[in-house]
Amino acid sequence: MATDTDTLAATQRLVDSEYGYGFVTEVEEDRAPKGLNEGVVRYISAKKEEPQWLLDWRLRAFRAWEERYLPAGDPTWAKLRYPPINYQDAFYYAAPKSQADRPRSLDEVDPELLKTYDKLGIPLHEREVLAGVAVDAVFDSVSVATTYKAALAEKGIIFCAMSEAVREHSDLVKKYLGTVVPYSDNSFATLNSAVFSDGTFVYVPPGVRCPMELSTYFRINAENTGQFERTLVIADKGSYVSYLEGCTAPMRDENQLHAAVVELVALDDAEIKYSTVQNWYPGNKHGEGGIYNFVTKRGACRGRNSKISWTQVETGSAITWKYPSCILQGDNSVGEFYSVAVTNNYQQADTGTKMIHIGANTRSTIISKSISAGHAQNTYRGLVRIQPRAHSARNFTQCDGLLLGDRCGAHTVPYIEVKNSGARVEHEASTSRISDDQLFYCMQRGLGAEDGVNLIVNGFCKVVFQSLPMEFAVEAQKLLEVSLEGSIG
Amino acid sequence: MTLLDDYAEEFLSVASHLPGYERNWLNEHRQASLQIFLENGIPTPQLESWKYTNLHVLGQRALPLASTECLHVDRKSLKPFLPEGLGERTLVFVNGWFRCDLSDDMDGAEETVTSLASALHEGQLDSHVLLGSPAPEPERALHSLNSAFMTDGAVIRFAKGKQSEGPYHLVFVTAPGADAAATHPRNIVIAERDSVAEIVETHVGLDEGAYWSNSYTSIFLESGSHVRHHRFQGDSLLAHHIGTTLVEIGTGAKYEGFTVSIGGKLARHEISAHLTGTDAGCDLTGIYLGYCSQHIDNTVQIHHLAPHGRSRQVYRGVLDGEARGVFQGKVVVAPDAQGVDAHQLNQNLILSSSAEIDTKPELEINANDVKCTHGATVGALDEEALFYMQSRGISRGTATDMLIDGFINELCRESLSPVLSEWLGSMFASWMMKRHEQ
Repeated sequence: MATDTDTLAATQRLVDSEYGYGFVTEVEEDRAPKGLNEGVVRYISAKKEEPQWLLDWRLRAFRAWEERYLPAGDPTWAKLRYPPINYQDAFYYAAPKSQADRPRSLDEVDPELLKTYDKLGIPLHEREVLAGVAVDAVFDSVSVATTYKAALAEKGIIFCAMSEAVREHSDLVKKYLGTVVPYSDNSFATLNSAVFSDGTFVYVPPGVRCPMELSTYFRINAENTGQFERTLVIADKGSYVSYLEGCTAPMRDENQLHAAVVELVALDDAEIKYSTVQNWYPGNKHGEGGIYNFVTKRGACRGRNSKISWTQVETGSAITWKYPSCILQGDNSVGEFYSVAVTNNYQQADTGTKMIHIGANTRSTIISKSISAGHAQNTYRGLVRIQPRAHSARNFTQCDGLLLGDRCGAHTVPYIEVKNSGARVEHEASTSRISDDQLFYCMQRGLGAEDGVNLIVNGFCKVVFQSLPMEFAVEAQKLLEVSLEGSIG
Repeated sequence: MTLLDDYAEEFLSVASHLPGYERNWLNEHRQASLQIFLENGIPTPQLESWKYTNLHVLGQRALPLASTECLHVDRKSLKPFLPEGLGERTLVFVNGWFRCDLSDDMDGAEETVTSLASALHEGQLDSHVLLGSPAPEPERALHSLNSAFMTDGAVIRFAKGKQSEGPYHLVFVTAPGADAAATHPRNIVIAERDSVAEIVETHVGLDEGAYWSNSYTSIFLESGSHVRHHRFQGDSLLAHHIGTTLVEIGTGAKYEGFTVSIGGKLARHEISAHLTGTDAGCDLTGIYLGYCSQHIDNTVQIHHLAPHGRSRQVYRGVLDGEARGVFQGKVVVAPDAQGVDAHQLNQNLILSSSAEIDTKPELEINANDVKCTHGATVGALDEEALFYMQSRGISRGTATDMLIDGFINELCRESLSPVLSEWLGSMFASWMMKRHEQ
């Protein structure tokens, strides 16, 4: 196209632009010794003053990992290429030192920490007042500031750090932890179960509609520290909660392992909406560095008429391995998965979902939009399984891929397993590039090539953005533009 | 002794009876293939492409080559499988060996037609170019087993620029009494430049024997040629059928494949098409019908290796009883294979609450200027359509049959000649009858 020469210079400039959120905050840290062994698991548990049952659970996970997963190596079925991870060459616990006497208000929070949030654009005060969003900011592994707790406590909603929940609401944690993602589920989840540092715990009591969007911003700090988040959200009968998760990370050269586990439980008539914007450091344009993001996310629709909805916008990480899933146990339960995955340069993403229909009249919707540019590889991998008892189950799946360069790849690997004659399953997918006609039309009306592509890409992803909460939708749209800068070919 | 030792021993005992034994290169080819099979064994569900198809029955003991003695097969017993009006170009193979007495005389044909056994014996295939080099992948271990034990089949060469007058019909019959025995037929078809060819390949059993048929057909399309290949599999309901079709499509050539699977206790047909030249085309249509406890697997791989290729896949399945259907379709677009247009569609009807379908339509795209789509649907018959017909006085059973008939015959009418379409129609009708008897 004639526009190529015009855009080349601009493209190059944008390609060269580096990740804007790369910085490391100097905060004194408390670390476990490097490497992974039973001693480290005990150290983490002791540091957090955990009850015996949790230590035992961690140890069971560690042994499963050591016996089953360590000898077998990481799973190889995903379309991802990376050198083997040396699990002994990482720290498994890092916490800001001032943990013993935790701050009660923002005034008591380490000023260095507050500055970090400023850089990330999370001014807590402003957010408290303006956005009405309660932020449980996880700095590395330990939650240090939780806001809006009082307003939530009034309704009986528990929204706190996992370590606090273990102390204060031990029975609830014990009842649900590991019931959706068992401690020996897969190698990364097993590793997480053994060494999880902290995370978020949410419990919404029966009949309560959570009055605000709950949000955790966490970022990876401290060099060479793998981060092992553990999130547990329980929506009791007839309740509703919307949870937002978003993150940026400092720039560094070494690959970092991140293996989080998220468990959701929805009881009768309850609904959980879980939204993620993921923008971790993707590595530089030569594919060096970047976060390894191996996440196990799973929700169980235990009760009748329950609903779990996953929305994700994945733009960061060198490697994304993530399959937010729904187990539709309760009759009439609903699972949804909306995803936009963007990969540029040498990023690799293998992501998708699993919808397991067990109960009757269960319904699921999967909308996945993948965008690849540069040398990136982007794979949708999904499973829809209709069990024999899932009478009249319905599934609709649509996964579309957009290719923005001639060296990238877009792949679709759907598994559909139907064991019930009354089920109706539909799957459709397409892969193509932005046509010259579309771009020409935009440019003819005065848009630059970049803006034209952004417009088209936004239209492509619109259906997913619509399912994001307002604050996030704007952020996600911006993120997409930044991620695709310089990818027009 | 283990299964693999048994196979090694079986090979030693039959090697000197296999065609082309006197040729060293061929013996080496067979040995190398056997070695690869022995290293990998029977594929297991741990392999991704065998995830849904478990061959544990074949893994229990080594099956010897089916006997060629005392076979009571005559032209009359083959009648149901020889559609009238198809022309006089039928080649019959019984238990994996060519039967001159049951086949039509090919002397006058414009094409070069021989049996594989005589081609190997007479040195017409003087290297393994057309046999392909042994594939080391564990997923393809059964191809290697075929290469080690291959007995007979058809070798047909369609001459440059010529249009074949009618279809060649290759009929592979397993005779009664072949329980616990295996056949390894091998066909080679070459369509020279700008030729137009048509082949019908039929695999059937004459009784309800528990045999294993492991067939392999390679088809080479030189530039500008056009091949129509219809494959009908109606093996015994106790038999295992593993069929592989390997297609290489050159510049501007077009392959049309039509495959029907209604037989076999466990049946798998795998097509692997490589579009190596620009503007190559590949159209695949498939129908699979299963009842009782049948397991029917259709695996398709289309590799777009050159620019401006075009491929279509439409597979439809009907599953009743406790049958299980598997569809695995994969379209791979190589880097730089720009301008590819690929479509894939798999539609399934489930008629009973114990039937199962596993479908996996896969895309692997490494070039950007492409248009690739795939779709898959699974569902029961439309209740509203059934109600509409019932309200007009048609019984529910008949209405069901009519809807199924419409679902599958639509594909036949689109892609087949009236003779074949009618013949398959009668096959489907008898399937429908058997379904009701269950």
